[in-house]
Order: sequence, then C-alpha cells, then structure tokens
Amino acid sequence: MIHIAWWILFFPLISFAIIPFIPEAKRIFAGWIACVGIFFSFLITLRFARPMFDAGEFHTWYSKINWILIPGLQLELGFFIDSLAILMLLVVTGVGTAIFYYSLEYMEHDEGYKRYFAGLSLFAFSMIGIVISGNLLQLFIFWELVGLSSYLLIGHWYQKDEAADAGKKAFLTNRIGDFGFLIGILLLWTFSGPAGSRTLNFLQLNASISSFVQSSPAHATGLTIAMLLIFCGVLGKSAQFPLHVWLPDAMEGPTPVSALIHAATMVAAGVYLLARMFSLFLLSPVALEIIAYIGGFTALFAATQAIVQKDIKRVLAYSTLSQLGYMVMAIGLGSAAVGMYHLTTHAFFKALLFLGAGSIIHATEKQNIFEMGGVIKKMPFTSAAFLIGTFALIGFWPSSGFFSKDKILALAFSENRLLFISSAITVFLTALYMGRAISLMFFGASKIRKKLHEPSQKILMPLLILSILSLAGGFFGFERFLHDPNHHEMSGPNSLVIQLATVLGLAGVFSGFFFYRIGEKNRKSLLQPFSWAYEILMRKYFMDDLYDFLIRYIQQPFAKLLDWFERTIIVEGAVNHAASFTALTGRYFKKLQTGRIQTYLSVFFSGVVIAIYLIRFGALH
Amino acid sequence: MIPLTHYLIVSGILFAIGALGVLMRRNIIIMLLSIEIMLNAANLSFVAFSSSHADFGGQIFSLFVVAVAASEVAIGLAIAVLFFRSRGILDPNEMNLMKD
Amino acid sequence: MLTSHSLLPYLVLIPLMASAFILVVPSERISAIRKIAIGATFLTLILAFFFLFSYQPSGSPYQFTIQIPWVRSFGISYHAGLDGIGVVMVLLHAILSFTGALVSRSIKQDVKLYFIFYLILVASIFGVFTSLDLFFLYLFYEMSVIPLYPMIGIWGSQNREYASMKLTLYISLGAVIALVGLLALYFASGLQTFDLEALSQQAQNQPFSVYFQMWCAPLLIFGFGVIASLWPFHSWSPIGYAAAPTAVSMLHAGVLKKLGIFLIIRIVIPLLPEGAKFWLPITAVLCIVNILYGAWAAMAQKDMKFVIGFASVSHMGYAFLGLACLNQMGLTATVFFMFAHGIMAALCFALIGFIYDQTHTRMIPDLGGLAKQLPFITVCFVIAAFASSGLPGFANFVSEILIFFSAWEHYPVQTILAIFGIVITATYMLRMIRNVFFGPPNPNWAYLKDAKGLAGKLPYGFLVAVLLIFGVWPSLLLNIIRPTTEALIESRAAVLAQYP
Repeated sequence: MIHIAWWILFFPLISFAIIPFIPEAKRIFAGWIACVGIFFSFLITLRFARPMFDAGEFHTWYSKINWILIPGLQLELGFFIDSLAILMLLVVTGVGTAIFYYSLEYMEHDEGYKRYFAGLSLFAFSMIGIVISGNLLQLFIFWELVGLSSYLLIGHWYQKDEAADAGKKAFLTNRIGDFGFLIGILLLWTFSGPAGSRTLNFLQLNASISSFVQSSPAHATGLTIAMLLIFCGVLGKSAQFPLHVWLPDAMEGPTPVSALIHAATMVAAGVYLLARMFSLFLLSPVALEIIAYIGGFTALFAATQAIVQKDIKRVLAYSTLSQLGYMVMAIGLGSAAVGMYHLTTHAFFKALLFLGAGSIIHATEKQNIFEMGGVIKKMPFTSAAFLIGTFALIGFWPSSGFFSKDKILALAFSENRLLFISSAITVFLTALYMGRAISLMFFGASKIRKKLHEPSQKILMPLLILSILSLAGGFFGFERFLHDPNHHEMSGPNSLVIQLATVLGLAGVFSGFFFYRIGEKNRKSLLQPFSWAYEILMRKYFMDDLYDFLIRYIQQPFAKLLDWFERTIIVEGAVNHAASFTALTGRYFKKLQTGRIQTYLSVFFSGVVIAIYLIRFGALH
Repeated sequence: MIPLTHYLIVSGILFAIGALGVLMRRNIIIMLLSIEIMLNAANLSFVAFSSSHADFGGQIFSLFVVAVAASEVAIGLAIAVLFFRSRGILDPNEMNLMKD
Repeated sequence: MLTSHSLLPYLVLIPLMASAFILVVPSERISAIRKIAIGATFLTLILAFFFLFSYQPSGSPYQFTIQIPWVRSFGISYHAGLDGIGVVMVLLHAILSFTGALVSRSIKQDVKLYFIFYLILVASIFGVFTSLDLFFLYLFYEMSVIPLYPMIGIWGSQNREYASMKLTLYISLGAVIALVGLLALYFASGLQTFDLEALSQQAQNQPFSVYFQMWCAPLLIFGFGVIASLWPFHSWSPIGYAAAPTAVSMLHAGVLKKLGIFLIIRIVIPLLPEGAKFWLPITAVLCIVNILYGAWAAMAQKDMKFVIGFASVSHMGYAFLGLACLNQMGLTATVFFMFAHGIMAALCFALIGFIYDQTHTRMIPDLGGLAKQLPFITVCFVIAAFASSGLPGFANFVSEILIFFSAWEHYPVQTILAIFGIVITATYMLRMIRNVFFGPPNPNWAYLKDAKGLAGKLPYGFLVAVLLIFGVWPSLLLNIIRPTTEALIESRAAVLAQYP
C-alpha cells in the first residue's frame, strides 16, 4: 500500500516525460497519455480513500527518503497522506481527469497540442506533490513548480501579447509572495529547535513549535511573524488581496487551464497550505485574525469587481477570487475543516462553470457576455450544466455550494459579526453578478450569427460528471474527511443564516435579471448616478495602475539609475580615469624610449661603468 | 709563462673595441661583428682564469659562449638580411616601424 | 616520489597536445581541426567523469596525486591532486569546455588559431583546479588569462578591443595583488616550499601570526575577488562577456569566474583562517551589493549578453554569501552553487550565441516572437531562465536554498536581501523571455533556423540535462563535496568556533 503511494505522484510525471518524444504526426497520443496518467493517479487515490468512504476510518501513511544530508541540515523527500491529503488528492486527480478528458476535444486543433498536455501533466505532478508533501521545504519545491506550469499554461498562446504578459505577471506576483514564504520557512526552521535538531517535517513541526512558543512569551510574536510570512505565500498562490492582480489576467490561458489551475486546484493550494499547517496557525491567534480579515476583504472586494466584467471568464475569475477569500476567511476564523469543505465543493462547481463557459466559447468563439444571448435554446445541455454551477455558486439548497457556504456563514456569524455582514453582502453580490451573466448569456435574443450546436461527448461527459458532483456533492460525505481531531468541529446548521443567505441569493439573482433583462431599458438611467462607482470597478480599484506606477516610476528608474551609476561613476569615473592616468604618465615616460638601439647601449654601458665604480670604490664597497 | 694580467689587458682592449663598435657604427652587420668581438673578449678572460685557477669551469663556459654566439649570429644575420631585402637599409636607427 | 599511475596530468596534457597537434594541421582543414578540439575536450570530459566516480569520499583528502620535483632550491614541484571540491570543479570545467568546443562551430575566421588558443585556455584552467603547488597554480592562473586577450580581441563582437584590454588588465591586476599575498605566504611560512599540503600542515600546527593573517588575507580575498567579480571590481565582466565569442563567454562566466572563489576556499581558509574570519564578513556585505546592484543593473539592459553578464555578477554574490558563512553547510553550498551557476550561465551564453549568429543582433527591442521559429532554443532558454531564478528541479535551486539555510544563522538581513534578489532575477529573466521569444512573430526573423539534429541540439540539451540531473539528485555531488569541506572546517575549528 505504502509503495503505490509514490505512483500517485509519478504517473503524471511519466506522461510528462513521454509526451515530448511523441512525433507530431501522432500527437493525439499525447493527450491520451496525459489522460491515462492522471486517471491512474485517480484510481490509486480512490484505493486510499476507500477505507474512509466505507468505514470512516482514518489512516495516515508516511514515508520518506533522505534527499540532502549536510551537517546542520537534513532535507528529506517523502509523503504524508492523511485524510486531508486524500480529500485534496481526490479533488485534484478527479477534477483533473475530467478536465484532461475535456481538453482532448477542446484543444484538438491547437498548434501547441503536445505542449499543452505536457504542461497539464507537469501541473498534475507538481500539484499532487504539494498535496502529499511530508515537509515544508518539499511543499515549497512543488509550490514553485505549480507556479512554473501555471506560467507555461497561461502563456500557452504566447504569440498573443496579453497571454505572454499574463504568464509573466502571474509568475512574478507569485514570486513576491514566495519571497515571504521562504523567509517564513527559514524562521520556522530556526524556531523548531537548537542547531542540529531542526526540522521542517509536518509530523514533528507541531510539537517542536508549541514547545518553542511556550518557552518564552516573546516567542509568540516571533511565531506570528513567521506564520504571517508563510501566509504571504498564500497571498500569492491563492490570489488574496493585495497580490490578487494576476488571477484575472491569467484568464488569457486556455479555458480548461483556467478551470483546473486557476479555479479548482492550484489557487486552492494556498488554502490547502493553511489547512495543512493549521495546528501551527492555531498557536498564533493574531495571525489567524489578520488572515480572516484579508480573506473576508478579498471576498467582498473581488465580488464587487465581478459585477462590471464583460468577459465571462473574467466574471468567473473574480468569482474565484471571492470564493477563495471565503475559504481563507473560514480558516482564519478558526476552522480549517470548513475552509477545506468549501474548497472541495468550489472545485466542483467552479470547474463546471469554467468548462461550461469553455464549451460556449468554443462554440460561439466569443467571450463577451454582451455579445451572446439566447444560448440556452441552442445548447441546452451545456446551459443546464452552467446553470447548475451557478446554482451551486450562489449556494441554493440542495446544491453542494449550499452546504459549504452555509457553514462558512454560520462560522462567521458565531465568530465575527463584522465579517459575517461582509460575507452576507458578498452572497448578494455573487448572486447579482451571476444573475447578470446568465441573463445576458442564455436568455433574450441571440446576437450570435454563427450556427451553434452542442459539442461532442468528450466535452459533455465531464460537464455531466461535474454537474452531478456540484448538485449532489453535499450528500456524498466529503465532510467525513474533515472530522480529523486536529481540526475544529464544524458547526451545525443555523436556520437563521440559511434563511438570510437564501433570501439574499434570490434577491441578487432577481436584481441581476432585473437590470439586464426585465428592466434593461431603464438600466442606463437607473445606474447613471453610480457611474463613478462603475469607473472605479472597471479600473479594478486602481490596483493595476498602482502596480504599474510602482514598476514604471519607481522600479524602472531605479534600475536606470544603477545602470547610469555603473556606466558613469564606476566604469567612466573610477576605471577609465585610472586607465587614462596610466596612459598620461605613459605619454611622458615614453620619451625615454627613443627606439635607437645605440642610445640604449650607451646608457647600459654607462650604467655598468658606474656600477663597477660604485662596487669598487664607492658606497657599496 | 705569460701572466694572467696580460691576457686580461688584451681581453679588456678587445672588449672596449667591441663596445665602441656597437655604439658608434651605423651598420647592423658591423654591430653584430662587434658583439662577437665582445663575446670573444669574455671568452678570453674565461679561459685565462680557467688556466690560472686550474678550474675547467671557465673553459666549459667559454664553449657555451661560443655556442650562444654562433646561434646569435645565425639569427641576427638572418634578421639583418631579411630586413635589408624588404627595406633596403642596414642602419639600426632607421629601423623604427614599431615606434608609434 | 613519482606516483606513477595518476591520470591527473592528462587533464592538462591532452588539450595542450591537441593544441600542438592542431598547429601542424593545415589551416584549410577546418573540420579536422574542429574534430581534434572536440575530441580532446571529450576525452577530458570522460576523464572528469572517471574522477567523479572513482573519487573515494571517505578516502584521503587529496586523491589521484602526483608529485614531480622541479626546482628543489625554491621548493617548487609539480604537485597535482583532487579533493572533493576539485573533482566537482574539474567536472564543471570539462562539461563546459566540451560544449564550448561544440558551439564554436559558428567561428568561421582563423579557425586554427582560435582552437589553439581555446585549448590552451582549457588546459590552463584544468591546471589551476588540479595544482597543489602554489607556484604552478599561479602559473596556470596567469596562463589562462593569456589566450583570453587575443580570443576576445580577434573573434569578439562590438567594442572588442576595449573589452579585451579591460578584462585582461583587470584580471592581471587581481592576479598581481594575489601574487603579493602568495609570495608573502611563501616567505612567512619559512618552509621554503610552495607546496600547498605542506603549508596547510604548517598552518595547522603553527598558525601564521594574527597580524600577518590580517594583512595577507585581504590581498588574496580581494585579489581573487576581482576575477569573481566582487563588487566594485566587477565592471570588466558584463563588457567582457558581451564582447567575447560564445565559447569564451561560456568558459569565462562558467568557470574562470569560479576560480576566484575556488582559490579562496583552497588557500585563504586553510592557511589564513583568522584573516578569513575577519575579512569574509565584509565580503558578506559587499556580496549583497553584488546581488541587488547586479540584478537591478541587469533590469536596465537592452543587450541580452549584458543582461546575463550583470546576472552573473549578481549571482556571484550568492557564492560569496555562502563562503562568508565559514561553516560546512555554507562551503558545501558554495561549491555546489559554483557548479550549478557555471552550467546555467554557460547555457545562457550558448543560447544567446546561437541567436546572435543568425540575427546579428542581441538587442532585446529588435527581437521578439522568436519562439515560433526556434522552439527548441526557446525551451532551453526558458529552462535556463528558470534555473537562473532558482526554480526547484534545477541544481541552482538546491544550492541557493542551501546557501540561504546556512547564511540565515549568521547574516539574517543579508539572507533576506539575497532572497529578494531572486525575485528581481525572475523579473528580468522573464522579461527577457517575454520580449525575445514571446509575442507576435516578427516577420524580420522568419528566416531563422532552429537547432537541428543531435549534433545541433547536443550542447544545449546536455547542459539542460546536467542542470536537471543534479537538481533532482544533488547528493551525487554533495556527498563528494561534503567530506572535504567538513575536514577543512574541522581542521580550523579552533579558530572558526567563535565565528558569529
């Protein structure tokens, strides 16, 4: 059992290694190899998950090999599979398989077909690596690798300037977060014990850090700083404010990539990290509180921007930001289980939404929701899937989103009223922007000239599976994985919260329909007073402008300044002037070199005579 | 038996002749010859000292000098001939192509 | 005295003999000349792998030794041997000289002369890495500078006279400063020997006076620091690389630059531990200037080779940071870093050379959208860029992370700044990739041809493979380096124990 665990990790890697060697003429095999790779990983994961589904038993598997052994530092590679990891593995490999399969058709005619599937396999490998990592540094390694695959896949259509820029932006923003993450790791490493017995292993970290915190009150502050630095990594990867700017741009990648990486799994890696290290975060209440506020703020902040987006993928991207904010907030409020639960359901319905949107984009070749309309008549199946996803995203009973979102709201209700209010507003906003998108896309007169038809089963099959999961995921018992005693118990249903959320959701959907369908004609006049707000939202609260400003007017001039310093002060000033000084002295001394051999000889002989005289009669005698 | 001083005086005179030749003449071949004279002056004193001190080191050295002188002349004359062919001069003071 | 069966001198002899052999080949037979050069470097590569695999980490500190007395009255002998560090550096140099010979295909003018110089350069660097005698070590060190001057001056690109002059002068200046230190060591020891092992033994039993160490160590550290482009003695490096032909840039950035650090480890730390203890913390401050200054300056460059040139200035800062830790982890990490960075920097220069040979421009704004024509080169360049910015999976990540772990204890502020350097590195590398390879295809470059066939892809693929193999399995090298650094630090433990 323990040996096959490695294969969860290695199957996608093998696919990745094989794909570049497939000849271009038989490239269809590349897609299938990638699919088979992740499907095998999924099967092995199921094998691990079965005892839990069957009997609710909790096992952990742990194994490691030494990777680097240097006096003072031991780095090991290993896996640590507990129920949390299995849940995440199920999400990654399960949703992954569906999306890989979907890509077979979606990317069929793409020029970079092989490259695409190689990238997806690399991503699957690194993402699984994050999930099963047994220590923090190993997690960091895979954490960086998902960043790489994300960069490659966002920039898949590298010939488009936007895509190339977006990939770069995503990677660099993540790098800034990882800067803090790495320092956090170093700090934790120092805290974990005296030199020589330090560790980054998850199994030992908890005990050593708690004894560290108890040994002195000042250490608690140190730990808070360390945990917040680690949270910096989460800010980048899970796109929380203020490092969220890369995620909307990342929609330049192919839609299945957006579904898998930028909605379901990779961006959730940050949340997974928080859950994985939750027992450490619990030692620092201050850090948790800050995390909760950042999460809550991101949820609200992103939801407002989703209202004005015109590109369906960007609507969904901001929605992802907002939902990630929920998860982070839930963990910050003290329940990793609730956060992870929402992560699971969100993976289902957000992947479904993206794939549905992808299916529509594939058919219509349009992404702007104002240019669609009436799609439901022509693509009923896809539309139904999309509607189910919407249903779950807003959180109506009995969809899976209902269960998880309700738990978050109930948690906020009992822990922090301010965050509860903001979350409730976010519920309304979520319903509003999804109502707007649906009314524009599916209903009304069609603005599409093209003849539309449903895609083939390769696209519909994943939609069907994900629809089922989104709709009925709440009854499959995923929360059983989260009853691990390490995590907070989930609070039971709170009827007040449920009613409020449902009412807000309905109100939101209705307002969406009202403004964009029923009351469409009056929309302009109704919204006129709010045009300033619209402007702010369209400019993304000036966040991109701020970063542009920092890069263009602070960072770049600084680089230019250093370059100038290099050229004028160091090279021109110090080095070249030293050289010209030498040249100048040389100009005077060269007059001694007449070039006449007989002059030299005369000097030489005079020298000899003087030397002899001195030796014989002079001072040297 | 001729005393050592006589040899040394002859050697000194030879050396002075050679040195003056190198310094004064404007023909590179004569200069090379003068260098030969200087070397032979040195040889002479080597041999003289050698026989007076009954030490073979001096004679061995003089053989060395002969060998060096031969190779020096070989190279020096070759250069001089080549130079004369290409530029038609033998005056070392005119040989200043390398001077900036 | 002559330990017969050492293969070590062949590392120097094979390239030298090949160089002599090329001398008698008629200069029109270009392909024969190339084959000789490639064959000779390939032989040294095989030898280097042989040394790697037959080195016994648990055995005596110096292996494959050979000692031939030369000038007894001065205590000079040809004494060669490899410790764990030497094995790794020899491997690095062998890999790069082989790939360098392969990419020298693009040299069209005076091929014969070029390869003669190239092989002398290769031989002399092998000489430095294998010498255990200060005299020969310095001799080879100076010998390696000699071919650089004509190679840059004749086969270089823009600004080559200025660059070759500057580079040669700078490096000679550093060498002269170091020479003063070396001679001081020779006389101060009173042993009348240049033998490094004997000196080291002496330094252990009867250390040099602290006063002597205090003034001798900086001569060596900064003298060697010049060739390792320690700030502010770095300005020769970007200009030199930009002007040099591809293979010279590769060898220079990949290996020659590492000589400085290698010699500091080999000479300063064992012989002058007190001096190292006092002076290396100062380089730990300068190295941060190296990292950040180099990185930011790289950001402002428009010429690709200048970007990589400043990047290598920036990266050498990490090596100095690891060195300044003066503990086993730090030294091990530094040696591994030198290896990883050498391969990576050489890969970058090789790829830029490939592009330049066809486009005749290296200006980033002129290029763009090359990925369409050059998919293989693009993949390699992306790999090199990510390796350079410390992405896991490549050897550079392992070495950098080890440097951070060891420096964190002694120099927390510097470590944080050094980690920030990685962020900037990623920024300028990705920006370069974005602007050179990505974006809409440029019709001007539609004629470009990608690397074709095994021979075309070999040099780049080989370097990428090395980066990957040692990135995934670093212990292969670390286990060889570690016993050496361990013994080195342990033997000076009395002095270094009170290190901050």
